Amino acid sequence: MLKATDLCFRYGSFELKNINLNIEKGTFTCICGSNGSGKSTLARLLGGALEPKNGSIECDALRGLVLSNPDNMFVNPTVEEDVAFGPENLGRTSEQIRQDVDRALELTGMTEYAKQRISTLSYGLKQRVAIAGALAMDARYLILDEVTSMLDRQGSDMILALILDLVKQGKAVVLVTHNTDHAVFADSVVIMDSGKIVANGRPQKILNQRELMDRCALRQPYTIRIADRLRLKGYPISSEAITPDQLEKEIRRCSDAFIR
Amino acid sequence: MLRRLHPLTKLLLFILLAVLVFFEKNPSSLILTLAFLVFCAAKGEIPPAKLIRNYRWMIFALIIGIVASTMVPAARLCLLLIMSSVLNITTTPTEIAYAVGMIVPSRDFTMMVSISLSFIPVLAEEASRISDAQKSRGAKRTRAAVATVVPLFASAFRRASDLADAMTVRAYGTTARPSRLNTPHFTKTDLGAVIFTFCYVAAVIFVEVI
Amino acid sequence: MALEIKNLHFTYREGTKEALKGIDLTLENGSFTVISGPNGSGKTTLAKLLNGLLKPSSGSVLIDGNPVDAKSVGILFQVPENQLFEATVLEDVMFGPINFGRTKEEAREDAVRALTSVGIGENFYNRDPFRLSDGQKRLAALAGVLATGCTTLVLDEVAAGLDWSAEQRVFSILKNLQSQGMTIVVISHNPEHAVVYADKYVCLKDGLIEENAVAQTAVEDFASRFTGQIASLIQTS
Repeated sequence: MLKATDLCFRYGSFELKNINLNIEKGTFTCICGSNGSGKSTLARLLGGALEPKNGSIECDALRGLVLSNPDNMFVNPTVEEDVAFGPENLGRTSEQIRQDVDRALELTGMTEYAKQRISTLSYGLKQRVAIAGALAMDARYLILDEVTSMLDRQGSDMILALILDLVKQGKAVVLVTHNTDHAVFADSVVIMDSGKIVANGRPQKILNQRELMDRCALRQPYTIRIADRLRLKGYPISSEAITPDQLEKEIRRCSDAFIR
Repeated sequence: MLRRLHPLTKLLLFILLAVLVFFEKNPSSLILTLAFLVFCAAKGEIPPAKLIRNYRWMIFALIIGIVASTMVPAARLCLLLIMSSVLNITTTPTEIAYAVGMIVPSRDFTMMVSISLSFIPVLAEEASRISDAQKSRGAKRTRAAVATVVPLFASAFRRASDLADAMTVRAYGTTARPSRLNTPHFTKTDLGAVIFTFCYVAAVIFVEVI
Repeated sequence: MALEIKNLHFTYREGTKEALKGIDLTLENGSFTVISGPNGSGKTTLAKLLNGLLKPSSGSVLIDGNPVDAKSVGILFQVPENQLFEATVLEDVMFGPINFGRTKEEAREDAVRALTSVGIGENFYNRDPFRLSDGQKRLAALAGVLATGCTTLVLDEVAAGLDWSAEQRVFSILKNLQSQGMTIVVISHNPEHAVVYADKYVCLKDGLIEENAVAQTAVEDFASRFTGQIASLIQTS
């Protein structure tokens, strides 16, 4: 478990206060907040790039951190060389490094790109390489800070699919983002506002609260907005349906009943 | 075959040949060097078109040479350009950084060299984007260039800060002498290349001194 | 009175693939167009041709009968914060008008007007642009382009990296500008922008226009991410 207790941090005039958070292995947590809510600072603290001023972070395994701009994360020119950077630094032998790299490339679906120059890849693929770099170090907890903000729809969908895959394989993924469409797939959603956690729970419970989302300057996910509109038109869409697949099932159910 | 040579071999031989070319005055030795380089290109499986990729500089040098009747320096420059093309094409930046790291035994220095090499295309592209933005605001060439410098520096600092965070998180600095994914090894081919090059150097010295 | 693109072809370098293979498009004065398309479809190339940064290989891009230039068509590139460089916000916004030959006093007036239209108050004029928040930097960059006095504004992925409230603020500024007569062209991979804001929605693919339709089509495109059935349900209700 990754445990943050009474975490405090100060950056200029900005403050993070009393953050308490538990992340279990094999879960997908989405931390949502507008710019300035402190979510990126929290990401860096959870990922180990920053040290807390007060409070503590305990973790039973290695943490990986991936940031939003893929151009600023790479150290070596080709895919496999850059993915090898982490294991090299951990003092692994050449054979172990080879295994680590191959395993990480397979997990992220980048095996065919192993010898390719990173500068020739699209942003979506670059992000996958960055994630592979963290996985090669055998990180069990992946903290991803706004990794989809520079990607288009296709790229974002690809990363989301990768996240869900990794979670199925037992990794813990924490996605920090202001894009709530990703949060509908999470096991738990954390909302941040002005340096504090203001909500933490199941996405069905949190994302349906219009006032909370408005107060924190967050847009509700498309699926929930469509569901709301349909409910206004008289379709009894369950508030448990928040992913596109769940919403589609509900709509079919409702329209079948309507036709009958 | 050149690609399989140890990068340190290539780097040191390159430095030796680059220095040597500046002592070549006799046209025969220049031609001998050209023949040697063509042989290297063939051994390195380099298509001739790629070798002359610095052709604009070569044409410039040749024109100056013709005008000033100083063909020897012009020829030297052309040979130097061909030489560096051969090195560049047969050796990856990572290998070059590795070779430099064997000469200067500081991991931080090697990192600096290799990261700088990786960032050149990134910053060049960014400079072109920023300059496009300033040109769209009506800045003509010099003004656009000046208005590109500050934002480019600011961007470079921001990138450096992000990269430093990324490297820390990837445990940079925790081990003094890390092993690598692909470690180059010295083989008999390296010995052969060194011997062959020394024969060529002897021949050049012979031609110059006689 | 319009921006007319006729049979526009563009190739970057001899022998490489054509980036734009014959674009025909008319943008009426004061209209709001969203141009969408996957990476590599030629969106950014088209944007650069719209303000004269690139010249057509063949065909024409004319505004009111004249070739386009940086004065008539302003462009805000992706991550425009990268263009800020002067010591103060006001000086940076004045950069554009001064380049176009305005005197210092005139440029100052242009800058103040532009900054007001994007909602940046006087207390920010003397601030260091690098000390602004991301959202404010983007607005300052927008003001820098508006100050040049362009009548058409092209924005490439203006919402990239912005959170929801900043994105709403930017689009409400754009709608405001439209109501004052400016022609707006937004390049965006998010079809919701078309649904909510556009008069016209254009899809580019491989250098050609795929559809040239009104915003209704964007609803289908957007909704089809979930299922065609939802789309028809929304349209009939």
